[in-house]
Amino acid sequence: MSASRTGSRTVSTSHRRLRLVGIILIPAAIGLLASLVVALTGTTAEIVTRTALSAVPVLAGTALSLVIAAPVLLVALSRRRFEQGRTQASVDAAESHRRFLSRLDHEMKNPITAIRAVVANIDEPGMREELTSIRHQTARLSKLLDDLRKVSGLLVQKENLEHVDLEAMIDEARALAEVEATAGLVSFTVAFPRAPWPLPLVLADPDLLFIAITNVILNAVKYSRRGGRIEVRAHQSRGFAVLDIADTGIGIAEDETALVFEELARARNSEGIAGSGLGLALVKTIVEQHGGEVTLTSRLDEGTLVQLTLPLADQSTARRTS
Amino acid sequence: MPLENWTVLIVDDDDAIRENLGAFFDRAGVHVVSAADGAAALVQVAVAKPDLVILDVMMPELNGRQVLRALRAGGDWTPVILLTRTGESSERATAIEEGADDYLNKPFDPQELLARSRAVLRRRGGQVEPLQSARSLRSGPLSVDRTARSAALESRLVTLTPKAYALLDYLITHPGEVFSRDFLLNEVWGYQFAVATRAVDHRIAEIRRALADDPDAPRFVETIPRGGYRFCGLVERA
Repeated sequence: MSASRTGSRTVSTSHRRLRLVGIILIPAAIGLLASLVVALTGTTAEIVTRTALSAVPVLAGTALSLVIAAPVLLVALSRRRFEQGRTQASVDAAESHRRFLSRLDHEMKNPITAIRAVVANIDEPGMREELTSIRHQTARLSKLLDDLRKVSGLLVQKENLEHVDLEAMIDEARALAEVEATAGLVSFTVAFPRAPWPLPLVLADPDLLFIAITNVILNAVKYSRRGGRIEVRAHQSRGFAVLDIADTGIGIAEDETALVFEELARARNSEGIAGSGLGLALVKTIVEQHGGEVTLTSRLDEGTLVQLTLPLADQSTARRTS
Repeated sequence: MPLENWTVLIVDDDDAIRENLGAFFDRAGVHVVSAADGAAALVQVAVAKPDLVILDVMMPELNGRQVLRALRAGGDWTPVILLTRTGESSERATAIEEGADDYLNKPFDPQELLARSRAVLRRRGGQVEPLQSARSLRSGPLSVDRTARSAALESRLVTLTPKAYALLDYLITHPGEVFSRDFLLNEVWGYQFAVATRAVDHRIAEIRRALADDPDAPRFVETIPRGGYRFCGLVERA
């Protein structure tokens, strides 16, 4: 499908070029035709014009400007088309990805349901262990399908948006993380601005945003080593709140950092550490649904920085009361 | 009616699911009838008069939704559990609005389906229509207008966020039943992430504030230690 689409795109591009050349040549063709007609009628009349010397530079300059303007305009126009095409291509890619997940979901749900029903009917005392294992694995498949569906189907709804205090949310996420990380194994610092003013509120679905933030913080804990550091820093940049969640953990190899936001992607060095490979895909979906961005910078064996950017709520209504 | 002495109609166009779920319910002592498409399902409801219908949504021609609508439009309130296509909360809310008693996403654990079937039958008891089909409900001084999605305490409207309202609506339509935080998160929010259960506590706190409900002497929402929450007031159609 993509091959034929690329093919038709190439054909339509060359058609467009031919048409453009045609349009450019129309005045020249009309001029040529008119000259031929005049020459054939045998007219010998001449037109002599006179121009003040002072006007000549202006006229020459204007003519030159016109000559330069034409290609510049054409380049700008084609660049805009290219950008539009690129945006469209990424929308197409996201849509095709979503359709793929939906097909996968659709094709897998019935067989797994049937297997679970079959297994529920087997009662062989000699096979108890095997059956438990099948049950466990089909439950795992079901959960995976469910999670994939949730990542692709998550939608931030306007009606659930509230003014959210990121600092309070980080405090809550930190409390959760400290339960996970055996106390004292990792040092955890949080720095929010106080001067010239505290970080303004963001407009967000608090439940979804909490899932995203906790996911990143729990990752930092999970991939940290004994004695590691986790730092959460926040600042305001133009109309955005910028949240850095940094750790001195095991890090991710450079060639893998771009892939970690994809569903089911896990870095090579995460083997042996439990995880679904869906966490960061979920974080990206949630943050982007809020009109924000998430980036990840990492060095193997040195640590990882995840940066979340979230649009601030309307300044007039979002000032913190504290 | 003893819980095992009932008839279930299983409707699914997938033979393997229909047959194996049938065998599973049969082993649990439930009388099973089945149908492979929507039209056959309507015939079976009329002929076999099941106590419960388990209805797959995705079926060719007459799908599960259409079967459900046809039943309810004809005044048939046989309890229905829909096997829904996706976990999206909008889809599930629509299922309930159209008259389903409950819904479950494929792929599910057959034990979970059996447990939900029992819960639906218990909930219905002698009632012809489920509380979910009521336009408005009342519990003492609390009234809930389910069409306007609003609640009022002693006739004064209270302010609730949409999520808090949705949670109150779920609890009040299932009075007396205890729900864990995980379960409520899955049913009302449509997602299941361990870290997110604090969302349930936050909304319960909001409901209690709005309804002036004292957690130590609750009139509406009761905390069950290590269990979750339940609506403890007496609920009637208004």
